[in-house]
Amino acid sequence: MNQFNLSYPSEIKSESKLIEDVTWIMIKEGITTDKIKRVLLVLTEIFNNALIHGNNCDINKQITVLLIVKPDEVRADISDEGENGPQKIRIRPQLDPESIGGRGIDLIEHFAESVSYVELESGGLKVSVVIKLEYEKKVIKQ
Amino acid sequence: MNITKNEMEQVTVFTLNGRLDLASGGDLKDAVKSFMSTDKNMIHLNLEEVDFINSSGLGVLVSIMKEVRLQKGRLTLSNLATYVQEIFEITQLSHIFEIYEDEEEALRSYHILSMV
Repeated sequence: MNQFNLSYPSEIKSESKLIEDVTWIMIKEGITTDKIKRVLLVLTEIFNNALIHGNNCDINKQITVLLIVKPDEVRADISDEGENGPQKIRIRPQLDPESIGGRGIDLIEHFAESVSYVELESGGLKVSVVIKLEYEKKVIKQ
Repeated sequence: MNITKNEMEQVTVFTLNGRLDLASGGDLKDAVKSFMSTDKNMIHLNLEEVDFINSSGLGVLVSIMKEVRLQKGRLTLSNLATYVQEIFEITQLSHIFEIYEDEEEALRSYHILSMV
């Protein structure tokens, strides 16, 4: 098991930096490309929520990522410095199929083994996720 | 992301290469929207070389679809990788977009429709 601590300013180009860093870590840990994509998908969804909804793209606010890589799974805690707790996620409205946004949570919950949301004492949100590396395709709700 | 454009008689094909995400989505949106007009409103996107897409990228595609609709045009997609196709199904976007197996099949549909 290897643990990595990453931190990014809240700006759009940080998403690319996260992707590069996580890809490098996964390759170094011997994880294959197809598995890396699913890990990246889940992590970028959580990261972008933290960036946009948590930290409001305030470059002075950080997003921290704790990544734990095991042979069969990846665990991550992604925390922002915002003021929007988990309530907004729990009460999110039904998605209009033609809306521009709002699909991130569904993708996270589909590809992750588990996901939990905790409000930090500082007011920010910590999202903890477990992603199994051996992926079994789930039934897609219609 | 690299975007190449090929203007044909009935349709303009944008071939995408790379990631379609928050950072790159804006480039695609700008490239397509700045090109479109009421007489250039048939757009095909070839996603064969798109090796990563997330919900931000999907949002850009929806935004383009709405713009095409506003211009009374048509938007088609093709060559979705298995992983990308799955993401479309999970998010129900496979019901919203007109998706073809390959570019040739998509372009044939434009040719056929133009003959009607």
